[in-house]
Amino acid sequence: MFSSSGKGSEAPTQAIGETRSAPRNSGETSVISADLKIIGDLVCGGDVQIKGVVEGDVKSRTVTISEGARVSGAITADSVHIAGAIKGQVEAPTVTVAKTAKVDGDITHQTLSIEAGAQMEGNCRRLGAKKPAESAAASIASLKPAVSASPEPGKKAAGGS
Amino acid sequence: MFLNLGTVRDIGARRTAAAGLPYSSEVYTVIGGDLTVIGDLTSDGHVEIKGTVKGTVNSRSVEILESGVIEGALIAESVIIRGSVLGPVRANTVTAATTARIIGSVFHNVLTVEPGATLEGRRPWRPHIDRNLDDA
Repeated sequence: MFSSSGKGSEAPTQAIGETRSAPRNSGETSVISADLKIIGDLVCGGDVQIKGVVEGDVKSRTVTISEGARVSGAITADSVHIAGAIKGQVEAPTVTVAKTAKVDGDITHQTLSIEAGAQMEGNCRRLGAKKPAESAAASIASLKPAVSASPEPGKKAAGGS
Repeated sequence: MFLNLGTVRDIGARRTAAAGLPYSSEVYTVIGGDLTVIGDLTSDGHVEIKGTVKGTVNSRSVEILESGVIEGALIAESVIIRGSVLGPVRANTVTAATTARIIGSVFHNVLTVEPGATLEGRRPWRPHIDRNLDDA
């Protein structure tokens, strides 16, 4: 039947199986090769390297879009390196745009570096700059009930008299 | 006799080399253990699946490792299954390893099943399966 040498060569595969029961962070990079096309979303706890075509959103720890790769969709990650073409929003604390990159969409970042020659269409916004706007919106929201609450005692007072 | 599973990939590599296709990183895709793809994959090279794919996988050759799961159709010229497939399989050469779990029909020309593999569903034989045609 199956030779013992065949079983021996399966040992690494079993080790891979074990990493699954551990926290799902095998530390290995997922590679979407140049001839691969994905129509749909990618969710990853580790690293993703895209050399092919992805039509959908990508969520990962780190995302590398190699030269020649094409992504149509939003990218959310801790770190994004772009050397290929992307059409969609990029949101990551660290964004690196190489000279071969073509970005058509907004970039939300904390640290951004763009190499000379990169094609950029869209806005770049710092993640830190977003917070004051949010807090302002929150303070306005908190003011509203206070404003609406203040006439009530007055009404009660008017009803009492 | 049965094929030694350990050498299957080498055979595949030689075959793609003979077909004039480099078995390089350019045609080698890895869906890592922590990656989930919600959608369809299409490739003319090799796809190694350690993570989860919820959708159709169509590639020249596919290897699903033990941690790998496909929830959807799997279409290939040759496929080695060590993980789970929840959906139909259509491939000329299908190899189901001990740890394989296939819930769905397996359309094949050459089928190898290692003892211990779980296969639920029909296993229709076809003279030839063209992965570009939906003629199951």
